[in-house]
Amino acid sequence: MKRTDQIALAWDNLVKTKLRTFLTTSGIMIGTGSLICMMAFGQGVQHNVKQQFDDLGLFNYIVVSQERETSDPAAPEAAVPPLDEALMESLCKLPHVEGAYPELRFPAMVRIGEIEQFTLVQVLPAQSLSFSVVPIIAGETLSAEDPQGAVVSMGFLRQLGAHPPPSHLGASVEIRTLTLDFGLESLLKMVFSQRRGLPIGQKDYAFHVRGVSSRAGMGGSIPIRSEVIIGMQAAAAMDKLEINSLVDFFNSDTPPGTFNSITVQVDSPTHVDAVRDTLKKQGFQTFAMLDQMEEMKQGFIIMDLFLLAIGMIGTLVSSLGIVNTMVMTVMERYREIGIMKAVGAPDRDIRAIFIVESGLIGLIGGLMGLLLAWMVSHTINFIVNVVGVRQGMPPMTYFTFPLWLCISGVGLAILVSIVAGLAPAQRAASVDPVSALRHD
Amino acid sequence: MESVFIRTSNLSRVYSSGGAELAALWQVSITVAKGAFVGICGTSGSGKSTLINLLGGLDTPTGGEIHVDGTCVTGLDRNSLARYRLATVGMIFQSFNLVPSNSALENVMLPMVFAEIPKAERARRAAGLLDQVGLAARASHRPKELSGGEQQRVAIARALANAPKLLLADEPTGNLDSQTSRQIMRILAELNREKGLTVVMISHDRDLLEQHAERIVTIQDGRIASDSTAGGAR
Ligand SMILES: Nc1ncnc2c1ncn2[C@@H]1O[C@H](COP(=O)(O)OP(=O)(O)OP(=O)(O)O)[C@@H](O)[C@H]1O
Ligand SMILES: [Mg+2]
Repeated sequence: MKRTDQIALAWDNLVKTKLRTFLTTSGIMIGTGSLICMMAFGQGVQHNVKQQFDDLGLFNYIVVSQERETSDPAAPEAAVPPLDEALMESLCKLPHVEGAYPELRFPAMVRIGEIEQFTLVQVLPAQSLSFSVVPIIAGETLSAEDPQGAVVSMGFLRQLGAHPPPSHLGASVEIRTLTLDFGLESLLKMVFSQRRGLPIGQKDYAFHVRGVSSRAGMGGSIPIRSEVIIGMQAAAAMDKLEINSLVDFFNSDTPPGTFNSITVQVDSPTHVDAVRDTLKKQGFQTFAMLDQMEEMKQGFIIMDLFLLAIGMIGTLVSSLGIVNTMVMTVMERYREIGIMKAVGAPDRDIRAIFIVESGLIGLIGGLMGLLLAWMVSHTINFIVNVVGVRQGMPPMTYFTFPLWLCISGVGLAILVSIVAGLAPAQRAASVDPVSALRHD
Repeated sequence: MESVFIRTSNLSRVYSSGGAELAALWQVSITVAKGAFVGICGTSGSGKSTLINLLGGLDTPTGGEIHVDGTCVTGLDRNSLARYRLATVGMIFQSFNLVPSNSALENVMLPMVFAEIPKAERARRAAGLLDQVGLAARASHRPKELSGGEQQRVAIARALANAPKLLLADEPTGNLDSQTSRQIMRILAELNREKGLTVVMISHDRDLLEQHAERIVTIQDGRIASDSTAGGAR
């Protein structure tokens, strides 16, 4: 029997039992639809994360640090140069290196106008800004002559409703730092009042907007945006709880004039490996976000599998519907199967007729599911964006439908349906024509 | 001497249900010449249908052998048996056994689908066969829109679809009035005479058989009770 005849016959039979076909394919539609929807959401998340990392140039960074104290005391130490300003300058001269700056950031509340936001303030030596680490789109970069001048990201200013960037140049920036306060008063408060937790104090410092950068500061081992960048001079004079100093607190002490780590910015992710090799040869320990991507990919795979597992539940449940429908179809067409056998249909043709029929249910249900997923995700996306935009979030695409997802989603629907149809089809193939044709 | 077309030797079909054994057919040895028209009669439950189903390859015997046109049918595997039903045998039943949701034309085309005959050729041939049984005008009708006699004629056209050599009919006139029965008989006799088809036909109506069959075999309790040469129509 020809494949085209099998398909035509299967189609005829589906059309003959419209209501049942509709219900069964609806089951598959909902099953595959939700599966595709979930996977599309997972893909969307991954796409957005990657996009953000790309936008921030996160993959262009290498964090250079000194080798941790090794357990081997005999290891030569003098060979590795200290992480100081001189090293930063020499690192900048390496090929493909765009800039190098120390990783110095501290948590603070930053207030400009009515907007107050918690952020990590990035501290940079004035010179490193000249290496175009942070592109300035308005005003000027940090300068030793203006120690209280800060560079603020466009994203932060946008929240103030600032569209033409220069509008906030010179505006006052209030930075409220957190300090570990071990003063007597604080300790007494801890003991005698209900206050719990760390003895944390606050200090206010006044800055002003000197420049506006097109993107937030980035880098380091903690990928949190730094909306505000200030100079080292000013930072040195501030009481603050530095992220690195916290680490230092528990680890070794860094000699004065040197940094815990230096972030090197490479011109493109493709050169990261080469630059890192050079740095490793010099005896530094390196860390690149690009490596994290591999780990992140693993995380994404786990997320995909998780979404797949949840999505599969619906598909599997709907496959039970197919089994049910196919068993019913075989029972109803018991006599017809007998007739086909009597006129000479081989078992494999009978089997094929029913497998093609359930596969067709899968195809139709799968395609409808794809359509459903597309419509549902666009509706959700639309609603989320309407709500989000009102709260100042930029409109985003939360679902993506790569071609492979569409194809494998429908393919899975077909596959599951075919598997569901196997047993009923086998049952049809083994019908005994004599008993099927015995008169009613 | 005419060449032997069907030969069965010690053909048996024993049903065993719940320990009890029932021989629907017991050690039947019979030969049918090529181009013969053989009538089979016997009381209800005597094993007529059992014999026809075995000859048609719908059922497999529990003992003995069947040779048809030089092929040992009992030695065929399931697939070859299907092929045998497709190419060598045409079957007609008392209850017509047409696919109710299909038109007359589609019913006649059905065996050709399994023979992988191209679609256009199928329709052309099926139309020709319907014309042959006088139903050209009813090609698009469903079985329930046709009378019993018309349905049986569609079934005959279907049995002829793949140009078989053997026509097996299990009480084809059982559900029809006497006039219609005679019409069906005339068609079968004509096919036997003009196309040289070997016909084996079951009927309760001995008179009807005697009009056309050259030989009448009577079955009793799964055995051949008598094997006579009837008057015949020629
Ligand atoms: N599947 C079965 N299981 C058990 N016994 C069966 C089965 N099929 C048929 N028989 C028995 O075999 C015997 C012969 O049946 P068969 O159908 O050949 O009779 P028949 O001569 O065609 O009768 P009728 O004229 O009523 O059609 C009967 O006694 C019947 O009960
Ligand atoms: Mg019978």
